[in-house]
Amino acid sequence: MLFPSIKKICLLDGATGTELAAAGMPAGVPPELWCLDNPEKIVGLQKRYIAAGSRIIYTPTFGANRVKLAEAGREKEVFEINRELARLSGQAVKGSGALYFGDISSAGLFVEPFGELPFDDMVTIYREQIRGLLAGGVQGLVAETLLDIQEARAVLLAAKELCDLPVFISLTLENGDRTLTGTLALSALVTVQSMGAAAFGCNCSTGPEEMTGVIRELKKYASIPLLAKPNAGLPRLENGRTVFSMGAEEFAGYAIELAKAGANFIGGCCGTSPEFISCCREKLSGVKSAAPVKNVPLLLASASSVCEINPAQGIKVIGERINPTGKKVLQAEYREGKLELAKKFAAEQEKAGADILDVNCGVPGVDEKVLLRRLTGELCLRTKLPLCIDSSSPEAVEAALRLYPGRALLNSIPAETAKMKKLLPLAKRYGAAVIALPLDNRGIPETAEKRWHLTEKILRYGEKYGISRQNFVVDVLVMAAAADGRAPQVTLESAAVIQQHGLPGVCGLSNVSFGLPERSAVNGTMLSMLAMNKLSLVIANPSDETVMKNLYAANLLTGCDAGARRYTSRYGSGGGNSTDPGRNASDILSRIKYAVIDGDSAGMPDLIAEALKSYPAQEIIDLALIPGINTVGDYFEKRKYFLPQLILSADAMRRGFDELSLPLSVSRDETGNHPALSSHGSRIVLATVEGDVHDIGKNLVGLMLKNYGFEVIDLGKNVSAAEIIAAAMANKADIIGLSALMTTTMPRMKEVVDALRREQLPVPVMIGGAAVDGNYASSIGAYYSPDAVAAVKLAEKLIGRD
Amino acid sequence: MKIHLLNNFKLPLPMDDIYRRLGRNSHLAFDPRPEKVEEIISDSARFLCFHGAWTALEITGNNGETVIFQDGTSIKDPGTAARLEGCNIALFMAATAGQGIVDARDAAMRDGDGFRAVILDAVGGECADAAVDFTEKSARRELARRGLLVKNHRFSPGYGTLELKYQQIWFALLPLAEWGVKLDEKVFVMTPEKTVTALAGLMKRG
Repeated sequence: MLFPSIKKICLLDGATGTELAAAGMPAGVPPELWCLDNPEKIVGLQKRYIAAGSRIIYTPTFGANRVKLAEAGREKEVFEINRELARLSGQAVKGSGALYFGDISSAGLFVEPFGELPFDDMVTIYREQIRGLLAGGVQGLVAETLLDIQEARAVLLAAKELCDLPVFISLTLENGDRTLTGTLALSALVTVQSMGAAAFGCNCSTGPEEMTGVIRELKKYASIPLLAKPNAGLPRLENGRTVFSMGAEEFAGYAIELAKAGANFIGGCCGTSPEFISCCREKLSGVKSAAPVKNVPLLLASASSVCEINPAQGIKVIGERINPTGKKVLQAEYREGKLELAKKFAAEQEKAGADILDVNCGVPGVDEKVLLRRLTGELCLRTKLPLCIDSSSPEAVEAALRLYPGRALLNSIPAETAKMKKLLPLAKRYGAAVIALPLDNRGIPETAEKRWHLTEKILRYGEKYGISRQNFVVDVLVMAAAADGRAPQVTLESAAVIQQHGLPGVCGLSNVSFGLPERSAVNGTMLSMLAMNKLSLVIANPSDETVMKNLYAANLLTGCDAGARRYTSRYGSGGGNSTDPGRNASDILSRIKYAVIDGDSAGMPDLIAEALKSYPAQEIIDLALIPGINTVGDYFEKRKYFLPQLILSADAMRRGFDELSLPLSVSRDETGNHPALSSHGSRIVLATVEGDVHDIGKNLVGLMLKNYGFEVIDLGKNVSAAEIIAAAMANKADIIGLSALMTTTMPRMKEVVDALRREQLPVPVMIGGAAVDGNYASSIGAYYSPDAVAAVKLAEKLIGRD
Repeated sequence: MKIHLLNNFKLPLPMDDIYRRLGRNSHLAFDPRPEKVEEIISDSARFLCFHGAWTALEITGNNGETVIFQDGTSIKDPGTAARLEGCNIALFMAATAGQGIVDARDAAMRDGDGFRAVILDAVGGECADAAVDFTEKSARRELARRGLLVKNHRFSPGYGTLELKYQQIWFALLPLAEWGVKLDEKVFVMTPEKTVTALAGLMKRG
């Protein structure tokens, strides 16, 4: 079949739903069913798009999947409805040279691992629809307005099972470069282009201006053409009619920008019409279509992040710890079907700086296929890092790769014919990158040259299965130095050979130190040596700080860390106040003060114990704890510190007071206050007003007031004015503090103030909450505090302690 | 009128919004212990359980004071009437981040861990907003292809002049009770508090 040339910009069609509504489709009716009843309308619209310049039109089958058709009770007619609607588009294009692609979209369901619908059920739903479209003679398929990478993968797998037609994948992006569910556009591109999509892009949600930036970024990594189908701006009401903010001429102007950014297929979504396409045709004539990138670097992807394997960027780390070899506890958990330890390892490795996570479930007695699939799914919810699927079982590999919502790395494929024949097709089908393992059933070759020979064998087989060499990483085969003193040298030679052939290398680093003491030192040194041969990936323990220091230093020293940014980011001094000249490590009072500022509760007992050897308790309070919390308050007011830090510091100060309670020979009173602080005896009644249940702000104010010596009577939330007044009278309150979050509950604050006036109680009222401000406070005769620190200052002022 | 359900969906944590809510929105800000805040935010994901739902009701009357819907219910509020002016259909939405995050926050507060409590509260609040955002955008997408467009940004009972008592309409229309949401019959506040109801007006493409 003819596939449009990408030397010129190829025009797609424009909006269908909004145009059909303008043509009389009643609001709320499924467009697919209306088109079946009014075929002349859709054929007429599509002919107008073709006349305007569209070279590919989409069949009116956007919602013609089983799930959406069930809303109208027509789910059993998926095949027939798709076939007939496709035939209508076939009529529209007849004789024009234009093509018609079967349109597929989201079923609105949440697919595992991010939702409850089994992935294979999603594939089945799309397979049903595609069968009908194929019967209607479509010349390609387009899945548009997709929310999630799993929808895209399900469409591609379903299509591949049935035909060889080109498949376009288009996401709808809501938050910059991500879908609503968090799929990163670049992740989706990397994944679908490795799975054989014919084009990728985005449609709907945004106008052309916003979409241009996304296309421009995607183009750098796109080995397939890109498509863009933006909206005509945003809808608004004008003289009783709904219009979009952008007209055809303006839209077409942006189409040029989209083309320059790299879009090869351009159309329109909501708000566009044949006039828009016609204007685009005029503006885009003569504009060249930018070709896809020929040599895209090797990229791995999770649903929400991308990892580039590029020697120029230095060595990246594949975290090795989710591997039961030598780990009895992990083995035991796997046997019980538990994954908690594996998930913990994932979190720890990500935090320690891993770029990719290796996942291995190979334990005798365990159903590896089931467990590896489960663990792959669970890890997708826990980490944003791409995964390296580590198994020699083709069944387990397929189960994991089929589910995985991204582009994984397959660890690994040896140069054994039987294994290559089983594993390479899986890598091809699911778009995985591959670690080539240059050994065969004769064992591990002893020389670099022989290892390269086996590598070439794997690459040749890869080509046979449609996997080009750019999709391979080669294992340089690290062996135990203690077993063979020459082994590290052969590894280094292998790494050099692989580098000369322009392929990225990977190694299982820990093997080199097996059986030796001070393993970290040996591992770290081997890593540095391999860095000289531009190794790209290392399978290692990122929690081994010696290895990581070597890695970051090696990347810096081999010119892969411009400006030493990554090195200093990891190992440079942190915290804006670490160079504060007031910090004096030799002065215990200074150390206590900064323990408060840094929020270091854990260190406080030892510091207080040390200080008590030289200073009386009251001096420690006056010269260290109070100045510390005052500095924190200052930082908070200047927006250097934010709320959680304020609380950490308050906790540290309170811990200090707890440690001083015995030397002060007093204990906390029943309200939890420190008499040392509450010597002024002022009382404040706090409440969230009636009808409001938000209380976190009030609770924090209470916390801070206690730390400053106030006796706090907290009445809780949804408290009536009468209860507040009664509590204030019963407790002889000096201040009343009120909180309200909603504009509809704010008026309750006035009720309290008015009630106080009626009772002739001269108790000042301070108010806070998202809904209130100073003007409102003044209007009702109350005082306003915007936050917990200001509340303390206000309270102290109100009792005359400022 | 069809109820569209979005059950047990997953959303990425809106990190920027969470930090902004916690007050870290200044270029001057620094954090001596960033890992402590990040750890709690990351851990909070296990307490979240998102549900959303939406439905569209025809507007059968709007005299600038009171809006009447196809099922006979009405909202007497000039602000709401103004926002829905010119609209044929009203989109009723609700979403929740679940009870778990509120329980975790309250447990932290009871334990005296204000640090953890304030972070979990911020996560819950921003995630509830993200959940209703997701619900609204799902609705917009579905409605756009039927020729219906959302007029303006959504608005919620309890803010502006739209009284909380009208949450009864949402509670009757949408399956909030199935999510474990309760409506206080006196003050019309919903619990868990990280639940959002919202309304938007729809117009047909002209």
